[in-house]
Amino acid sequence: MWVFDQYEDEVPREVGAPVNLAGRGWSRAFGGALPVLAVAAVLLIGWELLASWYFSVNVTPEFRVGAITGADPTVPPEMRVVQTKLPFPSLVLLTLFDPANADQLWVAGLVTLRGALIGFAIGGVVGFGLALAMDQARAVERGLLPYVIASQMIPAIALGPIFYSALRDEGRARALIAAYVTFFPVTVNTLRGLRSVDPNALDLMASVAASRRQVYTMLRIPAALPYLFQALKIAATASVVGAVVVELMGAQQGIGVTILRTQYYGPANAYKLWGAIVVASILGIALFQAVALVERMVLRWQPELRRGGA
Amino acid sequence: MSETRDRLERWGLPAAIFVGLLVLWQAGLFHAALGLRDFQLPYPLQIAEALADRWDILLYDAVVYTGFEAVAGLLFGAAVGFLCAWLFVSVPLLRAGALPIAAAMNSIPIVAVAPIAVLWLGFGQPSKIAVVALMTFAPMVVNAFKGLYSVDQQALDLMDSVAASRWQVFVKLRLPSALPYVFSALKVGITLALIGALVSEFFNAQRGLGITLSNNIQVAKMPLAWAAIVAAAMLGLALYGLVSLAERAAIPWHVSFRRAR
Repeated sequence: MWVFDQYEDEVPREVGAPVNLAGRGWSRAFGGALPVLAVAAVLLIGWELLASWYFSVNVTPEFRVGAITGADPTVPPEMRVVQTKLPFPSLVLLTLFDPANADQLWVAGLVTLRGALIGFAIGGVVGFGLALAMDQARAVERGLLPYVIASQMIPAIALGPIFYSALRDEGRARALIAAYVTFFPVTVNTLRGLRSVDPNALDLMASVAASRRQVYTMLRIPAALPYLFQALKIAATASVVGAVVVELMGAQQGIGVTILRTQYYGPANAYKLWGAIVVASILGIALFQAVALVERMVLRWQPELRRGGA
Repeated sequence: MSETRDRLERWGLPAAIFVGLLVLWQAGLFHAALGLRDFQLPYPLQIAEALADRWDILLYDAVVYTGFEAVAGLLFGAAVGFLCAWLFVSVPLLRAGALPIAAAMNSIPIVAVAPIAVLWLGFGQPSKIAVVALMTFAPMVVNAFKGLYSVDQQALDLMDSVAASRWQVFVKLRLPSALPYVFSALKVGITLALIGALVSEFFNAQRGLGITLSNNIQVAKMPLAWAAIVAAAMLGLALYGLVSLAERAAIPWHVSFRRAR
């Protein structure tokens, strides 16, 4: 099967390797986060304007208050869905900070986040350990690597529902699927990182009679760290998605449950649905950014991170 | 080590592990170890039976629905992503503001996007294709940008010295140097695309492997649900193989395809 052969030695060429978007000078020149914030602000304001235009075109004046609250049953259905399709960002914000919604939005989000985090930690540790084992024992690598690699070609997240139906315990199922989707990229990338060591550096270590342990702690593991963090960033989002997918299959708690229920109950819950969607994205982005922050602290020596980029 | 023995180890060891796990599973080891009942975890033979029984439905779901959504969405997302990357290479201001945002779309969880797509585009296939396009867009932007941007400066100078037009620089230099990156993004993208199609179907759909999986779980037909998983895995491997074939046809000169190292 030559199709998959290239994976044997050099698993995807660029994608797994650390992506450097910041080291080119332009990011420093433009002052890091400022342009990003500016573009984001323009997008939000544009959305608000678009929403108010859409609202005023499609909803007649006498129904405007009712269409927003969703409480007035006399509002025609086609006017009620206007808010569901294109809500005002300002009202979504208000919904997020309304204490009455704290349980369904933030507490539910924390439940999801807890499951994702537990699984993320377990999957990260297991994946790292397995990569070390594969690097040392060829039999382990030959026996398991094909599955780890094939698992990157199949939609592993689809196992979320299966785990839930087998375990009948949403907390454990959440953690299990999060661990599962974390473990694979971490193993593949760590292994690639451990092998990315400069042969000259290895020769140098050998020439000073460094022990096997020293070669790992001083050379191989530091070399693997950038690859490891790249995998952890991918896994951060994936573990949140995995936790939510479990919740779609009839769990009782979690942000996925809020999304499903508010989606089901229709326009009256439009803003709660959008609030839940925002919370779900915040979970994914926050975990991703947290990993990126730790990466910046741990990998200070990496050239592309020296000036607070990436 | 002889070549045959090496090959035996390379293929025999994984195969032996696979068969061994299936036998242990069928013998009930996992059920005993994890305290699972038969209705919670079906046996391999039950799954095989379900596959043999319903292969026609699963194949139809896989090809006409989930597979089509994944491929159509990937082509759409990748095309837009490549155009954006080219735009970012040409316009420095966009590079600073919009490229990081495009890259950050990688971290938006698909479970937040899928319900919005259903709100706008309904329960049919367009909403799934849109989700897949959105998910596959970000890796393509980042990778294609790297490919188009990291052109050898000396080659650019050479093109300049022979008064090559902008278009010639793009077609003869930037595009060929970007293609390996583009295919890397497509390979990551095809798996993402399948995940996108399946998970959007979990939220609501008319047909497809995702909705078949979730429906059968809700009515506790576990062998058929597992059969859907097997079908999804097969679909993933097949689509990945297709992308690899296309890559080999498009960039046969690339270093990763050279036999001798």
